[in-house]
Amino acid sequence: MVRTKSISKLLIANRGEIAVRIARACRELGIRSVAVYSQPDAEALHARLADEAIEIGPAESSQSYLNIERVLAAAKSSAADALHAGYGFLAENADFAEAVIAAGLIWVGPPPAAMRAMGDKAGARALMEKVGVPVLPGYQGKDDPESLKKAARQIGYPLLVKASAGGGGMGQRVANRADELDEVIVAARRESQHAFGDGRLILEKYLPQARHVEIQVLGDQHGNLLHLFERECSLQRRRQKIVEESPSPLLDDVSRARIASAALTAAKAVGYANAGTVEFLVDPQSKKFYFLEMNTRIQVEHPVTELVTGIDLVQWQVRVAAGDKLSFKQAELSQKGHAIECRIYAEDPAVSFLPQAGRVLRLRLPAMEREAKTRIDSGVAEGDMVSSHYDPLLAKVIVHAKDRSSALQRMREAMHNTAILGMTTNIDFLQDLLAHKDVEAGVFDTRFVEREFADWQSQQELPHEALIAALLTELGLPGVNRVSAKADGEDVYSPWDTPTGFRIGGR
Amino acid sequence: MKFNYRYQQNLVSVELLAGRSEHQAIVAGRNYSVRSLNSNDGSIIFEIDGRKVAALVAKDGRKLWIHLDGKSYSLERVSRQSQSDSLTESERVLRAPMPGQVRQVLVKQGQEVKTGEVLVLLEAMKMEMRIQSPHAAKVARVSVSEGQNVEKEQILVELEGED
Repeated sequence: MVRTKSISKLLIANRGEIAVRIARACRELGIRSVAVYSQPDAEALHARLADEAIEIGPAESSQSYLNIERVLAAAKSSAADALHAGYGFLAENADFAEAVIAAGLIWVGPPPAAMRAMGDKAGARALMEKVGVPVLPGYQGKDDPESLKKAARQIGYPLLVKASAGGGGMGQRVANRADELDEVIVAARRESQHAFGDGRLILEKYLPQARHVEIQVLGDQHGNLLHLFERECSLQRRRQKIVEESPSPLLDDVSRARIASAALTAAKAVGYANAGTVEFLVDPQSKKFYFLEMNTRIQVEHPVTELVTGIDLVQWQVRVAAGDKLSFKQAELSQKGHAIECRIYAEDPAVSFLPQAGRVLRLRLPAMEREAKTRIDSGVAEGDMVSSHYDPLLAKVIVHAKDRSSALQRMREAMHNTAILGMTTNIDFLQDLLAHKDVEAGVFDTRFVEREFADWQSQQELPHEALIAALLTELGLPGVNRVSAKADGEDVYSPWDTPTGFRIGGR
Repeated sequence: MKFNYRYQQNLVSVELLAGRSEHQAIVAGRNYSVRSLNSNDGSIIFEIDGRKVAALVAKDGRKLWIHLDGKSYSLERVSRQSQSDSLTESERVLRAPMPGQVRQVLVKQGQEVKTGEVLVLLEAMKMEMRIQSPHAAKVARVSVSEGQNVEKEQILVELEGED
């Protein structure tokens, strides 16, 4: 293991749970961490947990977390020698990665050229076709309404209209019939212009029954590129994932090997290094798979891979960026047991999963069990404000067990013991989702949630016990109305005591 | 003493007959004997007719959150007077479900709208949201304009009653 460069201080250009996760990796590697925060995030968990924290501007992302100049100024003033951008914000911005490198910092991420190649969805599609990775029939070219309409007629419906610069489900719309196309183009263009500053659109054949399966890859700067198997991410709402697992209940060893090999071909085609994910749509009947996109960053759902492979992806991101060689070979990797992640969002599943905001008045997370069987990656602690400025992801609960059915059971127990009071969350919804017979059977596709839970409402009946609990609360019981004091000393919420994982705010 | 709450679309009430250590709570005509046993950091333990119940609770102004047996319930204390007003109001007054920016206003004052007709396009969290009419009505007032930033619960459009 030769470390060609060394990192002593790393700036985390992000917020929320991923910033906390990166700070933890830094601590474990003996690297000092520097958080950046916007004004409303001054007391946010990520800013409290890093070794240093620097304010970078007002709430609007464009003037803080997305502002390259201010992030780089913070890196300079803190004398950081490396930068990790997490996911979202600037993580997939190749210009930013280049600016980081030009500023003399180590960029904890893939080569900017690889980011650029995969970031251009149209170009990536063409490249994949060239190297023999299957893609869905689609259209990329002149994107005026007339050209798009003409191409749509050739591809057929249903049809996915998506942002050329897109990712994460933003700027994506489905047109089911020709007469919907005009409206869908206008909406997708507006969304993609706003989300990515680029309104260019491409078309793709839409598989109504597809599953979303992705392959985690990890490469060093010495030519080693490995895959860390798949994650099944078909349980989605608003085209964004909410529950992920590994292994996928759909794949067998043969289909797994084929899809993993295609992922490595895709990654190699752009000279990939560091951690990345190649996403595929899989037809559940034929098991034919199609390249969707490559995410050139760490992903929200990376913990399920960490739990089944035993590889700490975020630590390895930092190590390979510093020049370390991967210390393991493909043949030494395997999927042990089964891991599931649930994303806890401040959102209202009964009203189109609309994001919610509020103060975390009370937070109860399931107890972390020994041997990392239940892991909590949280971005908030009790007393924190969740604002509507940013992604409403509050925390992730990840479980590991010997097989899928035990993992599901463990997750149901974990969700039963999870409470975030002060705003509407998706916890009740996740419980109903986990109880569905098709989820138990492992038979679902990317539209499963919108189909099966379209009219979902949280429990209608209010138990009399709950009403009486409300009454007792009104009577002002000692210790009921007081929210625990904000952490002034850094160690109040310190999660660093537990070597195997994370637990914040739990008791 | 009677406590009235709004839970989802319903109004619920509980009547309290406070005692020294044991209270009587009347819910939907049922009489419960209630004793509070312990409370700490939002966790409360109490007895209902001799049966032990544990809950996690939080209160913020008129709003209450109760987590009981794996489920969360959110209640809002309402005074008797405002109950009926606020319920009919929710059908007539369309508010922003979350903070955001008004992208487009598609109706004018006095305009007749159909059920499901899009009145306002709101953008928040990089998402587009359609504010649709819950029923056929005449637009009484448009309270926002394009480009305007709105708070959660801010009034967007007011409708006249069905005719």
